Amino acid sequence: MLTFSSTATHPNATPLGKDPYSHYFRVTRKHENTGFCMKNVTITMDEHLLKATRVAAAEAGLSVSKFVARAVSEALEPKPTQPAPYGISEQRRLMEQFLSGPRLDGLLDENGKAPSRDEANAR
Amino acid sequence: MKPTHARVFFDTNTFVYALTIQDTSKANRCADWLRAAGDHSAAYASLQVANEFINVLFRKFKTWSEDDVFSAADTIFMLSDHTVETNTIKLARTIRNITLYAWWDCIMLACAVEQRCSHFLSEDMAGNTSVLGMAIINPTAMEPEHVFS
Repeated sequence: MLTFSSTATHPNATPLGKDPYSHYFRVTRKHENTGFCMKNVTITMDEHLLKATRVAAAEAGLSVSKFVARAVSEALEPKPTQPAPYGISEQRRLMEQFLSGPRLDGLLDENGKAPSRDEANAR
Repeated sequence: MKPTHARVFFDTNTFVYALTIQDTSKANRCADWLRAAGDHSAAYASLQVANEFINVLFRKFKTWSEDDVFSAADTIFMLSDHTVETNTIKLARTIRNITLYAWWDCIMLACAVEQRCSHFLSEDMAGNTSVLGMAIINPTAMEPEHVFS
């Protein structure tokens, strides 16, 4: 969902910046799946990087905005977890510690089911 | 052992089954899941899981000492590097709209999605479904080798 509002000049424009032909659009886009708003951000980069970004975005057929958002998304993707380089991983050690503790008897109901979420949150 | 992209969230009942002596089959299978995820440092939980585990044991299983309960829960806390924030609740509302699951289930699922988990292990919500790209699977009905091949 896109919502547009427009003013004749940028709200931060100085008097010298008045331009009868410029319009400033504030765009709010709701993500189709999550309903979350897409946020506008300002980023700073040097001129050479900006130029290279524009070229790369054009080559990818994307706007600079979408290109940067995609790059950030990819950077945040979980990296493949590597097995411990030697010996047992810290998490595996935790699991063994948990599993070597006392056992539970009588917690499952007559159908062999663990307590439900409601039971687990009951006072 | 190969690297994996899998990130597996363990619901409360998985920890309960792993320790039960009432059903050896479920206990062994859930223990296998915990070990496999631990081998890959790919196990996740949430504070809600730890709190439910503690509450269940306090309310229904009084033969353990408090030290026993908290010692077991410490493992779950160690897997719970996640904080419930406003965005978590917003995400839970979205999940509620999609799934109509009970509210506490939706919060649990939101915690898992925010931790970018690929799989959510729970006997209660399973049914070969997925939520926002995260597969919900019944740990007692599937072997961990399907995920950690």
